[in-house]
Amino acid sequence: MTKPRRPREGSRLVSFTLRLGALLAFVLRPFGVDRARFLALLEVRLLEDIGRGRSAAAEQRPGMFHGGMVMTLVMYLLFGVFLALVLFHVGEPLAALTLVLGVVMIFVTMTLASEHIGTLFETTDLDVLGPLPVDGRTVLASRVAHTLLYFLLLVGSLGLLPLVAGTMRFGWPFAPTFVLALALATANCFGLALLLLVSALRFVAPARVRSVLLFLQIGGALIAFASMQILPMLGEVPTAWLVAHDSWWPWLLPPAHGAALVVSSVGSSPVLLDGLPAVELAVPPPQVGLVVLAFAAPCCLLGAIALMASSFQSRLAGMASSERGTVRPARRAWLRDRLLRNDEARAGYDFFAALTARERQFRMRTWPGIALAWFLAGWCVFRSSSGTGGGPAPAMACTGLYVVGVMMPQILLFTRFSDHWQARWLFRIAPLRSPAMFVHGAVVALAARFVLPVILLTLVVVLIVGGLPIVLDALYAALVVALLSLLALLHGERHIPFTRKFHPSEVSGALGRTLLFLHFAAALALLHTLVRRHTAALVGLSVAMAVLVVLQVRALARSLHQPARVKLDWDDERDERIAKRA
Amino acid sequence: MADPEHPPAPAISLRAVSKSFAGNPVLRGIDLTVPRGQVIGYVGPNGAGKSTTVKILVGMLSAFDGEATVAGCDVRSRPLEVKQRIGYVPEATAFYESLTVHEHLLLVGRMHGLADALTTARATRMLAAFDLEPRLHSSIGSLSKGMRQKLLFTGALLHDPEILFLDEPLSGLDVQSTVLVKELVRGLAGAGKTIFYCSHILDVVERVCDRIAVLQAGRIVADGTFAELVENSRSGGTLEQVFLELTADSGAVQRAQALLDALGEGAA
Repeated sequence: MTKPRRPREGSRLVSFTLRLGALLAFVLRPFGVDRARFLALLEVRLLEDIGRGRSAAAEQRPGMFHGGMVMTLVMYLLFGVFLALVLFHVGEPLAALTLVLGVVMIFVTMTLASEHIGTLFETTDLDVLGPLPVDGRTVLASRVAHTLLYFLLLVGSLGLLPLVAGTMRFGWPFAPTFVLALALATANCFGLALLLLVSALRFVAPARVRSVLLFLQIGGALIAFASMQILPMLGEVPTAWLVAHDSWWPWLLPPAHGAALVVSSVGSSPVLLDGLPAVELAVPPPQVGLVVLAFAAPCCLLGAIALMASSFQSRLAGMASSERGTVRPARRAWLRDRLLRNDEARAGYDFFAALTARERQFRMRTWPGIALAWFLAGWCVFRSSSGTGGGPAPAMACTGLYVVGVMMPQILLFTRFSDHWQARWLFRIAPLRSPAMFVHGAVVALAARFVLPVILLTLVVVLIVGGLPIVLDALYAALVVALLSLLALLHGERHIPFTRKFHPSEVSGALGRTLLFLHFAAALALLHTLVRRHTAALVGLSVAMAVLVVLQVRALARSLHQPARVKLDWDDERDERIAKRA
Repeated sequence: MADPEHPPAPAISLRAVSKSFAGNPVLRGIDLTVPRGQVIGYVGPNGAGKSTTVKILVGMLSAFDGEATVAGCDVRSRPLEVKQRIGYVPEATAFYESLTVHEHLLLVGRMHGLADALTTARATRMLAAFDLEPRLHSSIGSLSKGMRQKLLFTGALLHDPEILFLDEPLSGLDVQSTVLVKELVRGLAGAGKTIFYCSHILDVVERVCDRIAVLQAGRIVADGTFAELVENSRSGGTLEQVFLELTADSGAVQRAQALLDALGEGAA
């Protein structure tokens, strides 16, 4: 009973992962995790992944190694180029490694906050697990192990090139300690976030847990982003200078602990100040304590999580059941009836509008991103006004608007997922004359009740912070963003919303695409900077953008009626096979 | 007046319908014709292919061999016309849990082309009959299994369909609701509706169905009225006895003993 069960489909990946899981189960046993049940639950989750992956090849379906996931891994790998350059160019290893590990921790936090909370706190399998004799800790451990598999791949991609660069610069001892430091950094970050989430589940009233989780998610994304602003300061200010001036605060940064571990093994090179060797930096005595802390922290976190997670399943069930109650009928008919004439389209509008307000997957994936965009808008305005002293730089101030714009394709993607995807049988047996009309209503609801209000609100934020001098710039940026959103709606794949089962690999791809789209925001901000040198050019372009927006609205209205553009590609047989296997 | 030279198309027609999942045959050449206004009981042991047949007939499974027509329309080439004329109470009750009862019924009504006012009026009366009216604005997540089953019934009947497919319709219903549904089936049959009734509860099938088809391992092994089935069987008496004989499952006592023996295994 103690050996990992043989995978039913002989997948080497499942087999290999279960061996890793067996090791993890050994570590987790003192914390109350039942090894056999843990491996059984982990195997189910992996088999579901693999099942989807297999069908991916034949049916263009998302799977663990579907294009989205591969794309994300490639993106992370490419981002590792910058980290490798940091290791080569920042003179002091401690500073360089702190920077590298800090970036890794930020990525881990952002990925966890934006994507994986849904998987960790999934409630759809409670009906299955509820009657089974399995402890809450074991259920949580299996979910964490499953999620960590994705983090292993992502952190591996991100750290590969820094590993190569560091080994070239510092020699072979660098490699094992760097890998260990990466693992500790990931474990600390993940553990801390998980502790917060599990504590919320334990101590917050069931009816409010979802909201608290959402706020934690938004907070996590914002803290991760704010951390990104602190890290470059370490690159700019050599650690030796900080040590010499008794600056203690960098040692409080968790990435510094892992960096100290690596530096302890490879030694510190002379610190260059103004290009000259200034001081031979030895690992200071407090660092030894920090290295110990780097090891001790995951153990403490693990213990605390285990303590909190004893009632994980029952609290989760309480959370799921507490959301059920009477819902006040929404007043959305006025706007809907003016925007849409067709009954099927109106049905799509109401269906979408009702679920966007309540659907957990949509709320948890969308709002942190929107909050980040608003935070970015405020941050950019703040940075630009403090930097120039003469009011905010308009292009910078409008960055938040651009970020909202480039998020729209992702929001469109998120409308596909639902915890209750099996309810799509309704659409299977419905005599929908034109699925396009139904989706038309949903797209109109997305535009009218979500995209436009978000853009307008962001515009208001930008104008309040930036003031009158940036009215024209903000207007131009808002038009560009509206155009981007329309293009996303026009060219994005169309599906009946809330009919797909959520899977981490699909959203990992979404994150990869978001990172890619962020470059569009940067490019648009750059174009904006170039154009605004001539007010007439900016006015002219604004008019052109307005015309393009009108044309795109018309194109969108025309295209929405084309049935061929709506994908009804659910594979019930495959999903039922997976469900039965699970 | 019926035209004897052009009789109306049967409500349901299956011709050599076969279906496999991942190479495992589930249906093996089903032939079945159900005239309009008939209540047919479709019974069989677990895994015999009952739900698969229903999913083919309601247009949820389009990949199968053979021909299937409902209300004279081919389910593959004219699925919308089929769906417009049928009501379906599925075996598994999956819903969008955060929608309210009213929002769900409006969605169903609109997809069937009903005006909102008509949907609301009908839904209110039907929910009242099911004692579910006070839950009109409750989220579906708050409903019990029996309430969900009643909601499925309401959704299936909302557009007054010609043909009704009921897959284990009594699942989760209390005694009062079970009696109500039986009366409802009789009433619908009296109003000329065709009802395709899948169930394991044989005494209900025996009482409410005009005709019974017994499915075993993907094949129809018996088809006729209850009286005909009893007459042709050796074990006679009840539908349960006929069913056990037809599905070659007369060793229930022995198998129960084997289960009890298995429980004791290793205990010594």
